[in-house]
Amino acid sequence: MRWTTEEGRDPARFRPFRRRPGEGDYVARGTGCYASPVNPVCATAAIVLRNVHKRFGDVEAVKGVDLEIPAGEVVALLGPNGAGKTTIIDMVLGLSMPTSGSVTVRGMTAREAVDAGLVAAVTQTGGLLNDIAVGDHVRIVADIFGYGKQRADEVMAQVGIAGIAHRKTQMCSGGEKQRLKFAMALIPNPELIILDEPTTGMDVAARKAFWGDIHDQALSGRTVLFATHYLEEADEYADRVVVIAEGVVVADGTTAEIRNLAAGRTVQADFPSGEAAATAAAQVRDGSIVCELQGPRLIVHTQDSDRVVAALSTAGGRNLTVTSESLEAAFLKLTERSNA
Amino acid sequence: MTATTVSRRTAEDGADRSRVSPRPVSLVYLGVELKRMGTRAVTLLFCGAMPVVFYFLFGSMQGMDQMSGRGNGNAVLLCFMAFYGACMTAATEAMTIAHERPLGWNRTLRLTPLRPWSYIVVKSGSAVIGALGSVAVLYVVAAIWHQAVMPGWIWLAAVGIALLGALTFAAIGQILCLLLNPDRSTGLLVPVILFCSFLSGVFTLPLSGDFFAVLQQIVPMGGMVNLVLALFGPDAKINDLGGMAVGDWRIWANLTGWIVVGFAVAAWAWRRDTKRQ
Repeated sequence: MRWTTEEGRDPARFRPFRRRPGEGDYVARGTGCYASPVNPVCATAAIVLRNVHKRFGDVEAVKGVDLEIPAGEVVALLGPNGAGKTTIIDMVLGLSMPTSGSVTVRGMTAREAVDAGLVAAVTQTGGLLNDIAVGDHVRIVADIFGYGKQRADEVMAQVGIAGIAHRKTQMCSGGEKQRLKFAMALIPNPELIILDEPTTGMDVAARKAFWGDIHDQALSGRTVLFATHYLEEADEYADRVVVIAEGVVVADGTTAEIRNLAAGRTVQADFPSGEAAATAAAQVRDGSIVCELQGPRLIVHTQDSDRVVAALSTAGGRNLTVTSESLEAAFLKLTERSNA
Repeated sequence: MTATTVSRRTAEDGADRSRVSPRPVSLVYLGVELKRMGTRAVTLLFCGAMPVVFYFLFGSMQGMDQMSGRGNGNAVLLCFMAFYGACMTAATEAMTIAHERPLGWNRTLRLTPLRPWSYIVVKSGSAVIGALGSVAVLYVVAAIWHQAVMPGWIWLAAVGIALLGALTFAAIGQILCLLLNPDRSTGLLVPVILFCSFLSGVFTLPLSGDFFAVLQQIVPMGGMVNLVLALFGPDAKINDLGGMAVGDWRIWANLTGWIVVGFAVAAWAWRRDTKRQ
């Protein structure tokens, strides 16, 4: 399925929630500073990506991403596997360099921010030594940062792993390992925390418990960027959702805006010819999104299905069907473009 | 520069939010590495046993009790086996890196202010301590078997050479394990050690010709072989080997060259090792 917009059939340029000057700008919590994709760089912007490309051999994993995250915002990076989420996160953490474009964290390079303890991360999986104790991990990181054992005990208590400090890491559950990594990330008291699919492989209960704890304990007051492919996580914990697919930002908006997209309906209609379908599409374009226009078949996503049905019927549409859209379906449509 | 101008938020929760001041070398990390080494005692014991077995095998050959320079054949062999065992143990210790990389441990460390050379110091520190253990085992056996005859200061000097060997092969092991994928690096390490030990003359294979003579002076361990023979004096010779002065530049260029270049390359390799596995 392919999305089309007023700008033509180039899906890479589709931004349902693109902000225009003066509309939809938001004030970063507690900073009094405006930041949006169109405003000048905010002095306290936590993360700024400018036209970032990343190429691995012949594969371009990130194809020109512009992203600005103000201090204090909780942002979800939503996208299917292979969308480029981890590649983007690696660049924000200084683990890899963009092929072109720039990445700045708190106005400095990612590496400088990591060294200053301003940014920390919970990576997707791994990152731990199986044969040493939980507490050893935290103490090593605390020591490297120049803190003592006390700080290590403090963060372990904060994320609820103080009781398993002596346990070998290989004996820990997935949830406990993620909590351990979260404790390690908290050591330097970072302003910015990055979580790369932190709940992958956990069951629903463990996921809820993990998020519940870290949200209460440590995320408040920090800038948070988390990658996920669970919509509920993005919906529940993020102020803003950036949807990534195939290395580009396909949608960027508040969770409410994303939910609005899901609240709409899909209208399908068959036309005698492709031209008739295109004409009908032009008539209903205002206020709706034309999802597919292939041959005589037209699929429209809209909030106002009655109006669209009437318009398509008048234009000669046959076999009209109206289906309501789930959040999952909206997400899939936003991100599923390779099959078109 | 930019990092120092950043002012941290003051804490609402009373936690310490002062700017971090990373430690140059993490003793806690080194301590954990030593603790882990304890759990690999069997592997290390095997590394320590190899030179002991070789010492018995070659030391029992005829003519090893004859004096050459300041000591007898067994004494030279003992010094060779001391650094050979140290090299083996240090390289084996470096192989832990090959196991850690797929776990993403280096990526975790790269998200801290840990400097490449701090990492090298921790990893080499545990390798050196393991190597000292292997030398200790060999010396205990040698003291009991009582075949080696040499002045006391050469016993000590041989420990120093073994330390240099441990550093050299810690660096070589680190480079292999950081640059190659784990299957290849672990498979390559043993051939590399064998290659070095044969070409350098540790196992006294007949080396003849200018080509092998030059190669012997270049390969890692070559400097150690020549230094041991130099310690025993100009009369201590094995085939074409020996006869160099202790201060010969070829010995010290070999020893320092491999260590300095080895650690520089290892630090560079660690710095670039941030890819997902």
